[in-house]
Amino acid sequence: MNLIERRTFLKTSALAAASAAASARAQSPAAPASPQEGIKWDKAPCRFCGTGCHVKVGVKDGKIVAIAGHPDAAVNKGLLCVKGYHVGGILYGKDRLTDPMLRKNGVLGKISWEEAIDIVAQRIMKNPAGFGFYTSGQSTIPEGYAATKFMKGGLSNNHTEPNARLCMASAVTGYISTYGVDEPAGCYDDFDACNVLLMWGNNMAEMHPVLFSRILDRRERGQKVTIIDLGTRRTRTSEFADHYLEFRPQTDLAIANCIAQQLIERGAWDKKFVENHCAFRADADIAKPDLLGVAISFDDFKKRIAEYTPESVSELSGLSVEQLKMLGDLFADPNIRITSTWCMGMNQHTRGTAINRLVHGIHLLSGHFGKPGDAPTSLTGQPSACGTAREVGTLCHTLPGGRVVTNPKHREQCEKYWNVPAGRIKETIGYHTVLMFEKFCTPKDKGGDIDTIMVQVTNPGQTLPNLKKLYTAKTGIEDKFLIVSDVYPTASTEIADLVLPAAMWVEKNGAYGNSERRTQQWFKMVQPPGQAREDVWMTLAIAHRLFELGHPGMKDKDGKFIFSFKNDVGNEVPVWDYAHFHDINADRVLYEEYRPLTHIKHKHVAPYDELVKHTGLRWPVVEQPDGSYKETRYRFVEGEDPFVEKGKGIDFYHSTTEDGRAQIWFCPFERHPEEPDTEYPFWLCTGRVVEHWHSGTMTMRVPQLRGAMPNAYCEIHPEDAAAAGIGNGDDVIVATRRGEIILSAWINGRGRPPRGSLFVPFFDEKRLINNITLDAYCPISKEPDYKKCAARIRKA
Amino acid sequence: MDSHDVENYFRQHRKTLAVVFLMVSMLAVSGFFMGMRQTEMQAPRIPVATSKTPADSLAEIPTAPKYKQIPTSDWLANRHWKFTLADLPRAETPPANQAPASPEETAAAIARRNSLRAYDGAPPVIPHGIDTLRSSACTSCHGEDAKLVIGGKRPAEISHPWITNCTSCHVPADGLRQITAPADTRLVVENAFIGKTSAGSGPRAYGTAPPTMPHPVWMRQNCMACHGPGREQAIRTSHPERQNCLQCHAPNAAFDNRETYLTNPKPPLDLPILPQQ
Repeated sequence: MNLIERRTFLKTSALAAASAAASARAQSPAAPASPQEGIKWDKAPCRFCGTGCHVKVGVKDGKIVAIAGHPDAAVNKGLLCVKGYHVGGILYGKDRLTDPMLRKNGVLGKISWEEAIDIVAQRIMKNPAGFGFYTSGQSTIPEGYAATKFMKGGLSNNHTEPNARLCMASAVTGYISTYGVDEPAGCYDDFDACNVLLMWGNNMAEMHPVLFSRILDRRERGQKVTIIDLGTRRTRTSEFADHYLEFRPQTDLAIANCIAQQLIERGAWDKKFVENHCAFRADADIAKPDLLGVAISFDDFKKRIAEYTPESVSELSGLSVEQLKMLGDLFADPNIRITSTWCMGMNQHTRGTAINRLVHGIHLLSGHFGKPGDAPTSLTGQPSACGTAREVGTLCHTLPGGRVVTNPKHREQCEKYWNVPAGRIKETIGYHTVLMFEKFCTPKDKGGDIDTIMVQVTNPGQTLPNLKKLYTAKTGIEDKFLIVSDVYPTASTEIADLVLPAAMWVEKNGAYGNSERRTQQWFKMVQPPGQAREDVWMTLAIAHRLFELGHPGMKDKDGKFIFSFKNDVGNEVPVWDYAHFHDINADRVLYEEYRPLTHIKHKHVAPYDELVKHTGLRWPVVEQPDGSYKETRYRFVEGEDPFVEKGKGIDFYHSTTEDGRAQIWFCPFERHPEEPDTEYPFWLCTGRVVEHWHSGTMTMRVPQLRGAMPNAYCEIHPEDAAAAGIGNGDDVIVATRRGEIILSAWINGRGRPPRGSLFVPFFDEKRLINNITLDAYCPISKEPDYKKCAARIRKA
Repeated sequence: MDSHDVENYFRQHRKTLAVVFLMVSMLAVSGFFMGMRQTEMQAPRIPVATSKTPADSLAEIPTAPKYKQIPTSDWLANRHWKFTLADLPRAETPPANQAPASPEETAAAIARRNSLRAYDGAPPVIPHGIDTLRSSACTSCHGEDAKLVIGGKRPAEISHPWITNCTSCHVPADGLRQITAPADTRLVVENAFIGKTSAGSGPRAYGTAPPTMPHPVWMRQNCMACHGPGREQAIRTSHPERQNCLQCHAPNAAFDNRETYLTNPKPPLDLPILPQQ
């Protein structure tokens, strides 16, 4: 075949193919335009819980039209929960806030953004020390960083707190007092490798369903994994569990001690591991416990733990001796892998720090640590409780990267890095959440020295405990000013003096950090409605307005504004002017400014441009000789953690005793401050349901989620109900020492509390259970206990 | 029986009749209030779009016997009651060759399907009450042997049976039933989200070519759950005996939802543009 022939052949065959296609077209009905057409997909972490699933967001004509589980995401592998599948709907509730509003004579009226920013700046100017900034575990990393730098490095004010104080502060103090550094050593890979999953008061089937499915999937693949639900109420998790161990509230402390007692009694503790890597510790004065405690000897530990025999703990906890011995057997077996998980059950606890320490302690004592599948891992409730609240440091005692305000070296490092004068950062710890709102709800002449609070990305009007005392009491007190930035009207905006409309989720750029140290990033995909704007812009605009008003704290050593945004060619971009905010990716600038600060505690977060390419990376993320970046699965473990020297095996390199050892704590069982009595004979527990996320601001606006779970209820045992003459669906009055609310009774419902116990979810803003919850908190972590207080119930 | 007899009868049985009358009136009064209560509670529910044909609801209901017939009728013996799953009738496999569904039937099938989903690809909501605690209850009807006929219908079969925590993704459209609070005491906000619609039927290269798949394979690996015998006629396969579906029906890459990264606006390589034919 010569060239011409070949050409002709090609031509004819092409013609034939074309005509065949044309004739086929003529015969078959016209193919409909694919509904996929015009849809642009991009990745984002889910807006809701701390699991950190990655979703794909489908956007068409400027609106979200579909959501898909990200098949390449290591966390969820294409699966989502019902909230995740419906996350697109949260943007489109008809009552989105679209304009800044100021309350005049009791009524909110529209004002301009310029006025709004000026009002906030003037309030702060008037009394910078009386300003509190209440942010969130849902704030993005750049939002948290801007807030913390503005407050601590600008206003010299440490009254900044995230709502994460209410959800994981006890996990933080548990990690720090055990390992010297916050956040889990293990990761979700442990769920794929463990032989036993032990859940401590953790209803994973509803609260972390995608992680729970990861375990259940293993069963479907024919693997044997023993699931143990250690709980105070039968839940969907219990139904999947091999063992449901129902204990009396608060006695988790005794159960953990009982496991340690058995390990020692039987001589089954991991002697080599303990000798090489651990030390023993206890509180110096149990009446006044602190974060670091004092060293005790092994013999002292042994002596103190001795009373927690299975027999005595059985009496206390309600578990049988056999059940306690089974737990002892599991930890005594060096050939199995045990992963412990917990969430609010252990954290929202008046002895939250203690129980966190004890669970780490039994893993260390038994050597069930540092091998795939052997890990104590706390799960977070919020998408960036780790990434923002803990790592950036938006708590009242923290500075970025695991630093604390009380450490002069840490203050100096931050002051130098931010180029602000020495002494700018205040050394005294600010007010923690409960105290901040207590001071806000107290008149000035009675010591209430917080007069202005700005709230971002959270809903304290529904989620603080004992709301009447800590939130609604603000109304009527002279010269108290509440600023709330939110996306919908909430229980918080109800009494706010200034309401700022915020952009949410994929209406803005963002970065989150999940429970397993995984930092995740996303880009803005759709426009926010009306005048709604990014929270990070609000913080920057307020700071710049203060700079214009001459607040000295807004200037660095050279008299320049403390925030600087330079574009690629080095020119300053005035992002505080909203017309220029999108000229540059402000998130990337703030994140990259923050990133080097994470190195001191070896929390090397990944560079922004690396995050863009991945569905999240687990820190420490360290650059390899070939220029690529490698994430870390297991911290403190040689071969996995790049900061553990060769030959060490395991090294707790941030040890509080500076000798590479982790601390095994002894903490005694202590009674709850409000146990049921004859007057209030029931335990009242509060929590979540799978359909709703926290206060329901977002999920209650999605028809599918609201339809499934339209209002709160009170779960009660059938025998208790019968004794009180309560039928299923009857209106009941649940009362505590702080007040009462009306709910419908649910007997044999989704959760089955034992006799003497009630459960009420907190998502319903029309039935605020937190009006009656207890505001007592852990003395170390200052995290309140929403899981236990004394209540009574009667038919309405 | 003349009027005198009737009077006599009443006089003789006065006490009995009084008791009967009292009981009837008590029933009526309580029934009235219970009825009111029911309406009150049902009122706020969101209606679930289900196709209810008169045949479904009426055909199976037997006529009640007269009181006189009760002792001799089958009514008391409950002889024909089917109350265990095993006793429920099974669907027969219909003949393979059936006329294809009309465009109207197809449209109706798609509308029924859409009514339970926020968007194409979302997990459908559950159009009935559920065991709120145990997912194992779901599989008794929706498991791989979902051939039972309940109320004239076959329950949907699970297309991803290895995922066992059903209620983590599928929630009832009307979840709380009897403990749903009245609408004016609940937060009810309209939502303007409009989801992607179903792709309809898959495109064919030519008239008799096997259609490509109009949806992703993920979570729908069990093809027969939706396309098997006894399923919606609009999407039922005409050749259930052929088991390797993907041999002929190709997945469509358009459903891979591929992302476009904003930070890499430049194409990876300067590829030469192919000449037009």
